[in-house]
Amino acid sequence: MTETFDYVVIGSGAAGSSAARALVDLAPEVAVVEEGPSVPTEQFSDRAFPSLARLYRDMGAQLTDGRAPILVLQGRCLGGSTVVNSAIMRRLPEEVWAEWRDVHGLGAALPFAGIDNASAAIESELHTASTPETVWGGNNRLMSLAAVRSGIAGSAIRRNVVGCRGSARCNVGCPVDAKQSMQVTYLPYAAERGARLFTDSRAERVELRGRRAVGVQTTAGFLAARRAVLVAASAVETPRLLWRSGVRSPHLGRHFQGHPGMAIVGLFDEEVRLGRGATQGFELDGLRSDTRVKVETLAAPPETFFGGMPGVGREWLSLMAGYARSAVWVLPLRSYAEGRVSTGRWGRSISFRLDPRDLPNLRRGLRQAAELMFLAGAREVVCPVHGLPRRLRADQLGLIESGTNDPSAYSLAMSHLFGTARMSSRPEAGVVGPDFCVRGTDNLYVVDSSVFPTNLGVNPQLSIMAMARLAVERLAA
Amino acid sequence: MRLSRNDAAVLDALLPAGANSVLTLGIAGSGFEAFLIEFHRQSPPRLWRAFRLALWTAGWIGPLLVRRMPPIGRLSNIDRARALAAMEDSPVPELRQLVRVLKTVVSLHYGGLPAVRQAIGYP
Repeated sequence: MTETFDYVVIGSGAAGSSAARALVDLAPEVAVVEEGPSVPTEQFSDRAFPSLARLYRDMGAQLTDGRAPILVLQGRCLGGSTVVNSAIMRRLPEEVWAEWRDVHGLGAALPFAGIDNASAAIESELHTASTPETVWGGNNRLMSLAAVRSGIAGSAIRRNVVGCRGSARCNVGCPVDAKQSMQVTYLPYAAERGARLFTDSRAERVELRGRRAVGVQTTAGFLAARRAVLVAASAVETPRLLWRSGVRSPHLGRHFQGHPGMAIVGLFDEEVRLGRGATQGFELDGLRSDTRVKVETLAAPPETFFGGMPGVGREWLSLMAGYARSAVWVLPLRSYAEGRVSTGRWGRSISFRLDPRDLPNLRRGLRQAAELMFLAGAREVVCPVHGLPRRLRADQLGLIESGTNDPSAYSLAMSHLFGTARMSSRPEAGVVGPDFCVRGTDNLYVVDSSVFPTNLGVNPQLSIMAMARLAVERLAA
Repeated sequence: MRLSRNDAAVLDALLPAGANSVLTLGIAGSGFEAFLIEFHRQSPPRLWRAFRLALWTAGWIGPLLVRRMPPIGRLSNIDRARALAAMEDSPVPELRQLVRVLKTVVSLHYGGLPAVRQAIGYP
């Protein structure tokens, strides 16, 4: 099968869908290629197993290599990670943009006002607003209480939702389409204007003839591109696809960055009702400048909660049974580390080791978050670090900060991924130029977070969408 | 799929029946074998292999950590639990990670059971 389009977009997550939405206003013949399935809302399940199997890459069990593996969570379905994220919309922090300007020379290419204006437009289109107290539930309310009692800066999370009922199911697919994820917003917009969506279709390679990308070979056939091919397959898959397509750069797959983080659990005497309320409705920014750690609530479903609790047998069951009286907070860290994505003997390979500065920051963040849990009324705190007591009392929190520097002792996961085809104003320092075009090609663009020169320290969904929109504006110009 | 006697002993030590007043249901008799058929069908091969390795290691290496002769099926219930706890607390990260794999897979089944969800107050 060969079909011809003006533009072929690879990936249907935040970046690919935002690009497709902007592209259909330029030319109607747009194809969007998605490796995963299209899962209609009525097929979303409140059970973790079928959700992980259908919506996540590798059933949510993708790991980095080495002795201290980190879970790398990615959506793999129509809409990508926007289907399984918690709808958090944060603008690019100005201090991060200043790094892009000063260290990577991108100030002129990516003016802050341009990114910010695009972000504002997207916020409006996707009905972004602060999480109302009516859907906070106990978990978010406790963090709000801790913020008030400690004086640490915190706020209700701004999310792209309409009519959230607080079902705490963001991470297995919103059952009522309240979350304005891509499969209910930008993708239908694009499809109504002529875009074709190819699901269950893996992009094998981009066909390059000289400097021109002429199409994409997928498992469903060849999709020819008259004008351009846009790659938005994620910071893990984009560099691997470019490599398979013959793109060569010493930076391709390198500079892989993220926000590795972990959870702490507060055990309360009162009912928290963890399974009710906005999945992630409250956040603390007040620790970021000191520790590079952001603290967020997370309503974990029972399966995830159980799997993260320590102990076996009677002890494990006792912690499981306390589900409804537990609060779960997560701490994504703006890591200094840079890793590498490649294709090894066993397939996809993600190398990522924490930087020596990371664990002290994480431990300080964990300690402070644990203190906040106690301020909110916790009786004990579970901090899943090997070597610590399973349940910590308030007078034992010093143990967290004096903990081990062995990264394998920490149960880490990350879901915000960046940098593997990074943009640079200097040809020798990046894979794509300031026009988002892969160097050495005329019309092959990378529009996802692979181009970000650094991680952000905040949730990247909105910045990814805004950058994809900027990329299409550049392309149109 | 059918679990061996040792596999069943590992899983039973992980989640014994009647050990908690709220969560009285254990893994035995909860339909885990039927779940495993579906899990095997849908999980990435690497995850499935890790789960099988974790079961084997818990059954044959776990007892050695508490100075008992393997396999785990020959041990008393108390020693079985001690063997798994020793694996989870081991200074060897690979052993701890295998316990994590076991608990993750077991949790995917156990946390989805209506009786369990009702007992813990999940809406």
